Amino acid sequence: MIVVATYNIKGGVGKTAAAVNLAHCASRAGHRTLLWDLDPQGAAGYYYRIERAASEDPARLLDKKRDLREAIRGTDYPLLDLLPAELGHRNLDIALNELKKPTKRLQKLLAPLADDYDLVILDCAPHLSRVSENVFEAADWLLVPVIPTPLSVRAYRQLREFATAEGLAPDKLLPFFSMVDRRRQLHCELVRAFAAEHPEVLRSFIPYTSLVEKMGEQRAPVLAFAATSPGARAFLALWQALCARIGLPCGPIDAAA
Amino acid sequence: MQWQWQLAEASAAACAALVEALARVAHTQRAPVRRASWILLDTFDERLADAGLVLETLQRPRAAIDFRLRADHATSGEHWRAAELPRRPAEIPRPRIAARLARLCEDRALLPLCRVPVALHVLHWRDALAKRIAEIEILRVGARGELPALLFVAIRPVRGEERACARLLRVCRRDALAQARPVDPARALRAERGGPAYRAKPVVELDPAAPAGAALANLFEAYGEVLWANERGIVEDLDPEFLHDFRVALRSLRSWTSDLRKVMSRAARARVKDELATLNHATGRLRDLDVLGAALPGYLAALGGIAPDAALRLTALVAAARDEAQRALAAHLRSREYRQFRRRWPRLCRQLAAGRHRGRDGDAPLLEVVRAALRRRREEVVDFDWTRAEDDPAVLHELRKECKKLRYLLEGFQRLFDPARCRRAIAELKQVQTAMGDTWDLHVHHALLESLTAELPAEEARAVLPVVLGLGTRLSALEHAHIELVSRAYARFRAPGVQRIYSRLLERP
Repeated sequence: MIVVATYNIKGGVGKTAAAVNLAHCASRAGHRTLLWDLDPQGAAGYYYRIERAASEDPARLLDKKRDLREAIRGTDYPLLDLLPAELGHRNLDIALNELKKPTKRLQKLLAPLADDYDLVILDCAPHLSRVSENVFEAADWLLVPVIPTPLSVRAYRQLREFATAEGLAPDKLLPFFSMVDRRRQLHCELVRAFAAEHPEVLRSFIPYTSLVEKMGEQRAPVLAFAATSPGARAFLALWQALCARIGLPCGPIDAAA
Repeated sequence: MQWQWQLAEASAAACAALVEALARVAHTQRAPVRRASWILLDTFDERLADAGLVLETLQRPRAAIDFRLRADHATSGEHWRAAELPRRPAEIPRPRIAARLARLCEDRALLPLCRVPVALHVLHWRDALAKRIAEIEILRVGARGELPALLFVAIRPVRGEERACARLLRVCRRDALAQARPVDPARALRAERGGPAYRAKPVVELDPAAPAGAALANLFEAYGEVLWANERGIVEDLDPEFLHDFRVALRSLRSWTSDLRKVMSRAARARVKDELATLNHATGRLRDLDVLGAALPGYLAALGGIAPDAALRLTALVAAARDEAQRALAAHLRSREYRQFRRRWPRLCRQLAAGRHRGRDGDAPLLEVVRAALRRRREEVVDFDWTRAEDDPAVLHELRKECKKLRYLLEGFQRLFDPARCRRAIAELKQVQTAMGDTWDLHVHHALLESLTAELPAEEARAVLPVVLGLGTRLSALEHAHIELVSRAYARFRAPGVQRIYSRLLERP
């Protein structure tokens, strides 16, 4: 089982859109996939038309008094399951701080799912906290969407510095550009400069497209309602680039399925 | 989780009616009907089925293949996708499943034991908000000749929607699925279309009072089927076990032909013996090289201190010789001579059963003839001059062959005797055979390595000669050490305690 988290300390960069679309690509490629919505906003669940679960005390989950499997829901797409967000997730930090070895809890929770899924995607909330440390420990790779703007690039640098300072394996970070508008000179220049500075950046990017916003209207991933659009092709290319980097077969994606 | 049923009525009209009825139960999205091949995979000796597992796939043209591995009757299991059917467990792209199956199959080839064309209807039940509740798969296997059509339904609820699905299901059970019975479709398909299960040593029902000629014809027919069943595996080089089973059946046939010698006429017996001997000769070298190839890594590891390059060359030399022997055998099995033998065999069985080609004992009661043959063969084994065998591997091999013939007689005609006594007699014999087999293998491997090296050009021979000499010394030493084990096993077999088992087995009821 490979665990990939879409993570950034900055909000509104396209973490959820990437998580939702990559999870869909993974299931279409034949991988049993779980998307865990760790963001209390519950946007991933909204896209997959699964309502946010009733709020529970996160301490019960962390103490393994609650079986994670019971909360998992099937989506409209074969092989793709979703663990919906709960409002209680907003208190995860507090619950984690009260535990021994608080940075390994998420990893322990995911361990029993190893036989059930080939790929787990964690859709994280934008902050730098105890949950972030857990995500760093639990995830094999952290996919970091970066908008080509100075603030977003700065946020990535901060994240990398934080990971290095805390000894959290900065090599796990896989940045990629999101919401790129190639008509803007600033975007083009920043993409070039960032790629030169950070060779780990994935060579596929997600263009700025209204299709991502339409996901909220359609309540489906882009590939499901606009399979041939440039946006869908971009997510497919990102999926292939991710697979090549993390060593997962990107599989034949059956357009007729 | 899933629910599965088979419907009694399986015509195309019944299938269409079922699809319509299931589509009426909830908001339903239909996928176009697809043609696919439903394939059940297992090893040729059905190790997965023996372990209670089902490995199945629905292969659609120009699409990735979805595999399912589940326990017998289980409602859920493992799923993965691949571009091709795996030939061996190691080719399965999921390491944990590959390791699990490799342990079970011991690297036997995975073969499509049952393959049928199906019409695949897929429906999706959705709720009022178009949220998916369940996937319904309807499989119709068309009628073929006298074989009737089959119709199966599987309903798989989406995770978390089990209760909603169960409510819909109650409606179906009153209407569309009222006549359906819960079954495991794979198991039902195997029973209906898979043909009889393969057995390397088929147990043939024998009547002790029946004419020996008719019984021998039955045995010839059953073991002939074993030969034909293994042909493809040998020609396509799928698994060394195909050749192993082929040779066991072949040697059994040879053994019965010579042991029950007066059951067939002299001319018929001579021709059968001649044909089987030709086949035995054609298969021998490949089997020896198969066994050597499997044992060689162990020999090399035990020898130690050898140049890795020389070890690699020797391994490659054995592999090349094995491939050449395999090609030669495949060519023989495709030859005109073999095809004629294959055509003649069923005819011989029919004629022997009808009373032709019978010798003096052909019409004698089977039990009498077999008992006399067993007695003779047992005496051959027990009275063998061990002092000659001790010093000469060729003589030891003669004794080994006598033991094998006794074993084939016991196994082929076990239905005529008390089962418990027969099992014990075979078990005792097996111990001697194992000890002798190990010794003979060492001898054959030594000789094979020397002959393979002798055939090499001088330059290459020089590179592997030190390893071959080292192995030769070690194999000879092991062979001498093994003789002691054989001696003990043989002495135990000749002891009065074991011989009493045989006496009781052969005494008149």
